[in-house]
Amino acid sequence: MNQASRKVAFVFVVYLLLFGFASPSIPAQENAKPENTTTFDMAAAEEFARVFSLAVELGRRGRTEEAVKNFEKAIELKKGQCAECYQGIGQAYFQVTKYRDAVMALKQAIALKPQNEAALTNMLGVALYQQDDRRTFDEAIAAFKRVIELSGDKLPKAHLNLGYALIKADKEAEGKAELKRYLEMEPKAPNTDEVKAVLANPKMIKARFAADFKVKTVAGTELSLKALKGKIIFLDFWAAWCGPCRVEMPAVKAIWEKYKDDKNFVMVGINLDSDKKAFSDYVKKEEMLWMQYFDGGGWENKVARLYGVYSIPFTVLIDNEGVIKATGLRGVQLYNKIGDLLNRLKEKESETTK
Amino acid sequence: MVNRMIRCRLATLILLVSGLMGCGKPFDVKPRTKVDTPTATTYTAKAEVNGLMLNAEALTDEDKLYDTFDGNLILAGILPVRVKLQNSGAEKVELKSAKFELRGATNSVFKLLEAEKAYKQLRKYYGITIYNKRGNSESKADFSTYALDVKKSLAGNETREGLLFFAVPNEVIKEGNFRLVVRKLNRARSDSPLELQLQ
Repeated sequence: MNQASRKVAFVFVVYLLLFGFASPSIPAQENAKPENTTTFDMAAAEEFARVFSLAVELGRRGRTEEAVKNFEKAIELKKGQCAECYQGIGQAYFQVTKYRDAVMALKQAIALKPQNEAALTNMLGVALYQQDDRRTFDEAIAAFKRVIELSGDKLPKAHLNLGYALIKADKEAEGKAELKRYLEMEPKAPNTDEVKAVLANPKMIKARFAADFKVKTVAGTELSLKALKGKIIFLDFWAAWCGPCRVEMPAVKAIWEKYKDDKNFVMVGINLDSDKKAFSDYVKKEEMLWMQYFDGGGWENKVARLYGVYSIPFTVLIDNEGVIKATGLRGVQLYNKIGDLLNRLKEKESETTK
Repeated sequence: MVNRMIRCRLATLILLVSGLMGCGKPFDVKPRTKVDTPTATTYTAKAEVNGLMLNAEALTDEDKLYDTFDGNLILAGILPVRVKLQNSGAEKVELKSAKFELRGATNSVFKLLEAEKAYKQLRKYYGITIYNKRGNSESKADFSTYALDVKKSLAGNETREGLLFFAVPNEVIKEGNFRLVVRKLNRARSDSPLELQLQ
């Protein structure tokens, strides 16, 4: 998933946090079309509540198709007037990345003018954007514009989403204006560097930026990803107790031997041991001369958490622009990829000096 | 008037459903004592070293997990591995220093989650941010009772059973082919690890 997709996905997650399966919102009865009270009696109301809660339960279980069937049944019981049922279908399809189906359901929910229309419209925009289809970008743009209107321009993220959608639709100038507006509204947002990079070069919209961190290496050197911009960075997540990491060590050492003298190359070991002695002994034994970061947190190592590391050995390659170019490479693939990135950077440098 | 009553009743019912599912206990975890303890024969893998028998099984039945934990652990990227340790000797076995590693098909070691961390990951997956503090503590405590206690040493002739929670993405769980490697059990001073192929 690229950075822009992650942005919109993040907005969706925020939405889920607010209106997730665990707490379905009460329908906006005042805004809904009048019900046929003669046929929608108490028994039907109870049946609706049963079917609806079953659908929610199935959604929680991750059984999408069954959840959708029950939401549809609930819609029938409410004579089509159930925005949260359509919302449930939209969420269920969204979870399994069936964005086209999610879009259809969300449009039906929005047509019923629910209280959370802005949130649903935003979700619709995200689903349209996620289809990554030129034809749906215009619709996504319209949805994000509507979100701004419905929220009284109080949602900075809507400008971010709109900006990305406009750039994707080749409307760069308008997109940049929206991103600038986002930065004005959220000057301290954690993604400002990324947004600025996209503003400087809209092609970066597809890039996956490396999360910045500032730590002290075991040798006491300040290590900041931001400060290393312009270099090829290799992050190696490992632990002395990890057998597969030890198996990989000769390959990792070969990389160091090959590229250690290249001024454009930085190699950092991120250690997931909790026992400092075990870490130090291993570093000494294996003569690991590259930078090491150890905080004793084990799996909870600060940088490992930042990069969502759930298994080791794990590698991350970051290019001179701060963009993640590869993750999880090992052995020859890793060695060759680093070589490629360094060569490309050298070519770029020689072109600029000409 | 009738219309209003129906609406009120309906709203109450929905509120009750959402209240039960979202605002009270985040997860209605079944107490461990009420869940049948599986017999040793259900384990898919076993290994023995110096009188210490190790049984293990990766729990991947989503429905069974949901029925127990009121949450789909697999979807949340948590793989529970049931472990049974039987010490047939008289000497105690130190578990504190033991290393339980789950390895996958690409020979990676997966992150071992403490029960509380696994619970937190489950709650995060379901996007549950609003909950009753007491209810949350109860859910967390109930969840944690399933964990294998590795802090206390295993006394002579003691049998202990529990779950180890590993952070494994849903799609990786579906691929299967896991191995449980246990190292640094003080019985096996040579540090020759116990290795079990899980299904």
